[in-house]
Amino acid sequence: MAQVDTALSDQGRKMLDSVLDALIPASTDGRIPGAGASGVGSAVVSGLSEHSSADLDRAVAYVIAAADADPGARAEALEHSDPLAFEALLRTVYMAYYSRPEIRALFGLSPLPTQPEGYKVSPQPAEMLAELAAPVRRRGPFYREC
Amino acid sequence: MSEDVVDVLIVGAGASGAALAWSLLETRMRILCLEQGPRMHDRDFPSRQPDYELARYGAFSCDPNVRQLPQDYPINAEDSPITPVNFNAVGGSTINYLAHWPRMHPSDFRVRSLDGVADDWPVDYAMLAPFYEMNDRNMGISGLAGNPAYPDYSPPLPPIPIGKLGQTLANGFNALGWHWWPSDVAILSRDHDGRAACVNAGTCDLGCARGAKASVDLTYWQMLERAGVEVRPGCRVREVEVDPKTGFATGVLYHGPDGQVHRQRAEMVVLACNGVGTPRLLLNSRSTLFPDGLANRSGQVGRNLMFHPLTGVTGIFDEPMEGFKGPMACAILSQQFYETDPDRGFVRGYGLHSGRHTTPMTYALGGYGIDDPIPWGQAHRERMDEMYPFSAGLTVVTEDLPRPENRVTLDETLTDSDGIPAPCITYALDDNTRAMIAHAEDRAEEVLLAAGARRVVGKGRPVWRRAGWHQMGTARMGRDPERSVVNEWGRSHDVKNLFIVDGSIFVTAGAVNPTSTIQALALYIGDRIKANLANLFD
Repeated sequence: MAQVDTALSDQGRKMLDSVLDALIPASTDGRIPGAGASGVGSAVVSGLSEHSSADLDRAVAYVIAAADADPGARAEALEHSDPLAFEALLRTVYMAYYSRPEIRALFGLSPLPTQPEGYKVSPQPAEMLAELAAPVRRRGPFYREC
Repeated sequence: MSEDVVDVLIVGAGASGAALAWSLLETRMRILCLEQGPRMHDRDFPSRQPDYELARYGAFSCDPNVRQLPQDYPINAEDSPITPVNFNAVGGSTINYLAHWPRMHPSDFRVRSLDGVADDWPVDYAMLAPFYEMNDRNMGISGLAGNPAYPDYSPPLPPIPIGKLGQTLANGFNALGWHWWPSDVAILSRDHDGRAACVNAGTCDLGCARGAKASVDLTYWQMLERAGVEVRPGCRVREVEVDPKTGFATGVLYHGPDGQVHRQRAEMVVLACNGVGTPRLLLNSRSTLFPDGLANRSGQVGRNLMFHPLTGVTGIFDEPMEGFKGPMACAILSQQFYETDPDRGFVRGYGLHSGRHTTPMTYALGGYGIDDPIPWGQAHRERMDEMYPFSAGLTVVTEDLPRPENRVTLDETLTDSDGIPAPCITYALDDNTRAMIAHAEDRAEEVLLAAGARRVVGKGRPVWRRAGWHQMGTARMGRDPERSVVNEWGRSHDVKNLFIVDGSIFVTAGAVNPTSTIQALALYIGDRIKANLANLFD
């Protein structure tokens, strides 16, 4: 994939980004950027090491080949003409986009690896759980004796 | 070729092999365990890496066909809607399991007597109860005592927080008057035995770098290695050898880390390779005495493969459910529909387990164990902004009944990196399971709506493909040598010094995650071995 990256023209890169924005658009309030605007294109063309494939190569080559096309229509055309290539592109985009720390943070996740800090979960007083489970206890045992 | 003879040779360092070894410690027998995978360290676990989620789709996938690591063997599952998943390392699949820890019910051991299907087990709940308890202590189980779905028992540690998601769903079950209970989990709710409490990171499948999840490398193997039991990583067993004169197992041939084939001799061989690996090894161990595979005079080796077919139904609520916080699979479960009710149109039953939606990436790719990316375009935005944060799911865990045509055989062409024939899965759902799933999805919808969901999605989808965690039944236990592979204490009917202790000896599957029962059964078998030492091979 690195060969595609170095060979990518400004126009090709622009087209790729616009198709990526069609796959994952920005939120209407602009709070969450689309995939192209967030810089996922670099990850796509440089490949995600073990996830890159000939299918992905084909998908990138296809979307950058028609600079004037409507990005959504271009993505849809690829989805119909070469489903394997499209699926590889889609999976790669989803992986690259949602592994970005700033995107994770927008969904409330830690931008950092979740271990060792983890997440705070509200404490669960024993009394609260006892009250919640009380109706179940009141009905008594219901397993089959055998 | 070594002529060194050990007393007990265990193949597989996962849940069952470790428990059996621990049980035999007091005999002072020399125990050696061969494990095809490596020894893992917390630094190896992706949960401490910035791109941790990517590992879920690569080197830390639950699917060996995706991982394709040198220690993995491929599995041909083209003829099955469910593909087996596992992990190969010291600790076995407890490295990447989700640590849900329900016990089987008393009725699960009496299926033929109660419901007229399948077979009764040659052991029962009361016989296993002390070993469930012993194992719960060794693994450090968290849970709430007094679950009315079981005879009384008390998990050693208090329950983990069920969180907002669990509380919301519990209210839904209460509104309908249905059973639910906080899940028993092999995850620490507080610091215990030198291990740290869970921090709700939600990466249970990527190895718990904190050590809160009870993988057996952190529990049993710590005790075992301190006591002198040897585990030899990177050793893949290709065949169990048998003396053609006596019919006894003499040991194994294995591929070592040096790439060479070694012979390890033993007085007793124990297989603990899971419900796919064990029949594969037996079927690969052909000899003049056993032309159809070792211990297979009954023809039952590889047959009666059972999974727990899984589906999921999701409720969309008005408030964020924080599904990425907390252990992936464990908050609460309902066993309201676990037991047979003839009015439902199927026998046996199912559980409804709360499910979290993990991270945005996993959700976008279809969910854990599912390969079905969500839509792209504006529909993607809507799913991620209006559904993902507000989702709480119920996983349908159905009981699979044993059928001889569901089986593990050897693939004619596919092999692992050492040239050993790979397993081939032939498996189909039956009408009973389909009826059960339809019933369960309707009940899940009911409870989600009762819990306040404004919308319910996910009904009618195929069973989850990459979700064959629970592999059972392929070398089943029983008293009749014509219809079973091992006897009531795990000893092969055909080879008197060969034992099997993993999920392959299950007679039926229940509708619960099996690791708790697998280990209780291994401890029970260890106890029986000790009780019968004087005439163990008679």
